[in-house]
Amino acid sequence: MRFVHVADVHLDTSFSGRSPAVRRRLREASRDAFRRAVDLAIREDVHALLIAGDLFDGDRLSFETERFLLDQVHRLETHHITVVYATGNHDPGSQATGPRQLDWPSNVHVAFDDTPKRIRIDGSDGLPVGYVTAIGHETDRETRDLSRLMPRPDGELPEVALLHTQVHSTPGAEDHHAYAPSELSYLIRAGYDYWALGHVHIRQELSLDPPIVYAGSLIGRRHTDTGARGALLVDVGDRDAAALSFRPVAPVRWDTISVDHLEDATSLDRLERLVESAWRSARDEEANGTAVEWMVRVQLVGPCPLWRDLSAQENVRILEHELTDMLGVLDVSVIADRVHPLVPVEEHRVRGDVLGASLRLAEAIRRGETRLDGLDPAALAGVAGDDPALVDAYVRELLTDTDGELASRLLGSEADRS
Amino acid sequence: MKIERIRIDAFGRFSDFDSGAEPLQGLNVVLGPNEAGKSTLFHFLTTMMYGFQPASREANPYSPWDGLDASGSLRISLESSGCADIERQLRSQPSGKMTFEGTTEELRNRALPWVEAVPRSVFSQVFAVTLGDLAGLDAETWAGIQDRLLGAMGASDILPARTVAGELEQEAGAIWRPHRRGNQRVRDLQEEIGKLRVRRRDAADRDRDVRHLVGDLESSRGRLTEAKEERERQRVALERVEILTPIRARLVRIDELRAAAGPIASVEGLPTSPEDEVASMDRELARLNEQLEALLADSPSLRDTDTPDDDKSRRVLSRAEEIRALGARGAGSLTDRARSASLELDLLETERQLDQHAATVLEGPWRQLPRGALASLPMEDFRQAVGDLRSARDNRRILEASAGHSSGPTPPGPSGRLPVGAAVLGGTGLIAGSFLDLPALVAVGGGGVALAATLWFQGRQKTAENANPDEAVERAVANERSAGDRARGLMQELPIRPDLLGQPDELLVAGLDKLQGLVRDHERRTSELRDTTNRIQALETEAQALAASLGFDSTLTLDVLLQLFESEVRRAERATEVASQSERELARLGRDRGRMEADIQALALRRATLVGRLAELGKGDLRRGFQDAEAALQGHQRADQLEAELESAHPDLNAIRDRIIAAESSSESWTVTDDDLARRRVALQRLGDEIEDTAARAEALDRDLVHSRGQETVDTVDGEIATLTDEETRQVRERDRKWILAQLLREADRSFREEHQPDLIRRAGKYLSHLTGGRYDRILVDETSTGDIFRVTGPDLQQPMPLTPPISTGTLEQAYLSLRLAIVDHLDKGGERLPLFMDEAFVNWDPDRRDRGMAVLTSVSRTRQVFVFTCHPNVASALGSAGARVIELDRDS
Repeated sequence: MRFVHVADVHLDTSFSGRSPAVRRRLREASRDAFRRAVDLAIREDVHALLIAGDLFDGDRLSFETERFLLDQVHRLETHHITVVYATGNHDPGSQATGPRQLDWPSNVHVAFDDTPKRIRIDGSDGLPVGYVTAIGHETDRETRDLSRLMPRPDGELPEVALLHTQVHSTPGAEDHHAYAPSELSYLIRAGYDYWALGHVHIRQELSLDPPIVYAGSLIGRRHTDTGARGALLVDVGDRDAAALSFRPVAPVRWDTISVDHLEDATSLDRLERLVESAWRSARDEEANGTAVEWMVRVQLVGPCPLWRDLSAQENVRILEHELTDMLGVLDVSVIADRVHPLVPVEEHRVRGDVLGASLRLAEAIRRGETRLDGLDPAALAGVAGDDPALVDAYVRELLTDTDGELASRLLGSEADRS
Repeated sequence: MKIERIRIDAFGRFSDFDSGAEPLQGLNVVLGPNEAGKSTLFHFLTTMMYGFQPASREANPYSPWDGLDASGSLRISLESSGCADIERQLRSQPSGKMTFEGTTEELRNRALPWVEAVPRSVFSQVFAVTLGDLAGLDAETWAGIQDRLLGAMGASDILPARTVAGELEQEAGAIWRPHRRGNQRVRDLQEEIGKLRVRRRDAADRDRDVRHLVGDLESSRGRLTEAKEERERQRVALERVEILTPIRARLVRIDELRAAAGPIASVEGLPTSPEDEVASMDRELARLNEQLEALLADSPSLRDTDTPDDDKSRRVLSRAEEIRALGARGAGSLTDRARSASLELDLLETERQLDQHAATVLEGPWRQLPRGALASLPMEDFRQAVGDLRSARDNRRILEASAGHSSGPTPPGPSGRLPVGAAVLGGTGLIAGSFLDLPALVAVGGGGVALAATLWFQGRQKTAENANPDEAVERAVANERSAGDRARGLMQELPIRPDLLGQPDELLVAGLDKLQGLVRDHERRTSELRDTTNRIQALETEAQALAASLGFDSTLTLDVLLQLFESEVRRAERATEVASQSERELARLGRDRGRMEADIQALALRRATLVGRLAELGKGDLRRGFQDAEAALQGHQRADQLEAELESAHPDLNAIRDRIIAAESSSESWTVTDDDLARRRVALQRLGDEIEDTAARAEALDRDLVHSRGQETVDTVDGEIATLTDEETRQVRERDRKWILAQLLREADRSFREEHQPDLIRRAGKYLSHLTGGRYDRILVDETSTGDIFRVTGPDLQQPMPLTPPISTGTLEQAYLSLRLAIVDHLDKGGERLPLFMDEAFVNWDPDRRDRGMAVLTSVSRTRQVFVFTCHPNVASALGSAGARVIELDRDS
């Protein structure tokens, strides 16, 4: 049995972007990625397309996206490709507005809830080539281990399990809610030839025998979603040696580059060249980094002669605009809140005055050795609740890379002469 | 820490400076005038302790100007025990080493380990008390100084922590505050997001509307399809009754007619009336045969037509071009003959004139003149010679007349009026003679002009000539003779009348000139007459030769011959044309005959074929064949006519025929009652109305759908919300960061003051007590005060007094120095005490205060090495008396 495994498509996800045009392109890119996955299934003449949850991003699709989705599955229908779709926490099956409202064609089988659906997958000759068993999320807060509800397969043909779950201790799982948690050891023992998983956006193989695989999100959604995104082409014809190959389909990729050593950035032009150099070297390290559009976040860090200019948001906007053209990418966002004057912080830290005391205090707080006395959580805009641990972690995060600013503010005009 | 020995190899203005082997004291005075290097010495000591800064040779201001490397050494003793030797040098890179307790360590540019607790900047600012620090108290606000003393520990490079914290809180407040007062960026963003959420709801409503519209549209389109199908059924049924039935009946009739007429192939190609056609063929055959016979009868007469084939005509035609050319030249000879006659008359006239003019100048008839004699006479030279002769003659006469009156008074020369008058008269005669063609008058005129010129010339020269009149006359006579000889020489070939030859004059010139012109004219006309006559004779000769060759009478005149030639050519051409026409007509008749014979043959064949087919139809009976064929043809013709009428009335007859075939395949009846027909018509009308309404509704729905789909969608608004939410998150984080930094600063400031202030203030109070001689003995700090945080107390004060103006400047300076000394103690508390530098600190103090200050420094120097920089020898002397080591610098150090 040959199939394409995708997950976490998140159609109609809302993208944050600098301009409406960029946001529009990102929305289109999600659809383009799904279209390419369908193209891949047709081109590779697979038997099935498996969708491991979170096909939708919200409670419903826009009308246009809905039409697009139905058009694509109709394309698969005309090529006699079966679609098996297990709902996830973003597109739970209980909601009337979710996947239930769509008029799916006959080749699409949706697992809306915890009732296992076992779908026979036929070959071009009409004979079965394998089975896919799927369980869906009925609600958006499924806390049970749904893998335990999967029936134990006992047939002669390849058996594939399709599930949206968070396997314990999976790298990257901390970024996601722990819905439908499952145990890797159980999955391994469950008797399936392949576990097609969704939920964690980082592509990874938790087990090789049997393959227990997160396909990762079909396309990145934010700057932390780095790396190529796409679909897995799987052949489980040989039950003992499944063949997997990753096929990138995302037309847009995300990346964040941190640019430090900005001491020579004495002009906007030089700063741009430093960023360009960092970007080129980052791309050179990547073999297939040319055929996509890029969403790039540039994190400027450390002492920089332009620190005062970069504190003005309008200057940062200009920099973003010019870098977008210079790098030839879809969009660039610049984070410049960690640049500061060329202040010898370590030298000031040992001073026996308030400057030294402040720097030492900041360091102590970051290390968790002390706290700010009498800090009222309600005075903080970015903390909900008054959990001291959360507040302390937040404060520690806020104080990251602030020594330069702290010193420069206390030094005033002296900082410019440093 | 105590500096025991200073050695400067090269540093700024210093070179080879050595404080000496004797260790420096606790209290040292560096005495030297301004610019002697006191400040450089302080920087050298700082450099030895902390390293070179800047660390580049080019950038360091103390690199010696003479190109040497900045270098030096220091020997220090430590409170903790032991001595250290430090050497530093600034080449392209700074280098340094330290020897301590027998071990040498590479320092490179690092600070000494015993000074690391006090940063270089703090040391430079706090451990060097200058006159400027104290003098600046008047210029800087005391509140700021207090903050600097307590918060910055005397360092001047940092701002008050509370001020910076306040700025941060203000910036944070502009972004977000817990309350809603004032403008806040985050709350603005939240409001925008709130508005976007409303737009999102609207977009979601529109999305629902779109779905409903699509449902309605699909429903309407479905109903529209159904209604159209039903209408089609009804239309077909009605059509069957109203349109198809009569057409179908006619089609049936057509089929019947064709069936009765039999297969069309049997009569295909037959004429409508075969019998008439056979008879018509017979008549046509008879007519053609008659025409052929007539044609054959016409041919011999044409063959008899005259042909221009006689020799004479052929000869004429063969030379027709030559004859025409001769005729054209004959027409030209008429002009020649007229010209010849005219020339003869002109010659006669010329000869008459020659006779007349020759008589006036020649001795004999002009015809006897040697050939070319007159024509070769150079008339211009001759005219010039005659003019010269006349001038010479006139000159001779004048000279002769002058010679005759040489003893008397000099006769007046020709007056100015005489030459003018002669010139006027001569010119008039010359012009008139030229116009009137009167040579004599021209000659007179010319003579007048010459006379005038001569008179004028003579008048001009007369004075010179009067000197020797006889010689002048002789020369004039010789000139006249010579001129006459030259004129006569030119005429020697001509028989000139002797009376004219003696005194050639202008009249002779005019006569010969005229005669020369007439002779030339005569010769030219004679030549032209000869050429014309020759041409006429040549033409006559040519015409006569042509006539002889053509067999005509060659004795005829040229004009007659030319007319004869022309008429003969025309006659021959006419005969040729007639012959050509006859040949063409014969050819045409031949073709007509061939064609006619072919037509007769074809017609006979067609008749035979037709008769054969008819006989076959009549099974051997031609008459019956005629009848059967005519009946079948009429049947098919009628069927075709009916079909043509149907096609004309129904251009889509084939489609109708298909519909009839389709209808026949159903079980529908071809006949209905009128009531049923009426019901069907009503139903059809109703369906038409419904279709129209439904289509309009579908169109309206489609428009609404297009409009709705062009509106903002949920995902678009979501993108804007996400963007603003991200910006809100960023702003919130930025706000909290600023706010946390502010709180951190306040916390650090508070902790710092709590930690250091009591000890520092206590020490400062002790110093103040010493410096003021016990007048003030304590300093208090009031942190709740805004500005005047320091207060002083003393034994004579009832209550603490704010340490702020208008308190005396001297007291303020003493308090400031007390605090600085306390800060210095505090900064290196627990470690090596670093040297203190005082630069003219007491110079403005009154003697009492200065003595107390020196006493304090002396006291301080027991535990901390003190360097006092001064340019005042009395200060150095006073401190020297107190045990200080005095180091003298001069400008040449």
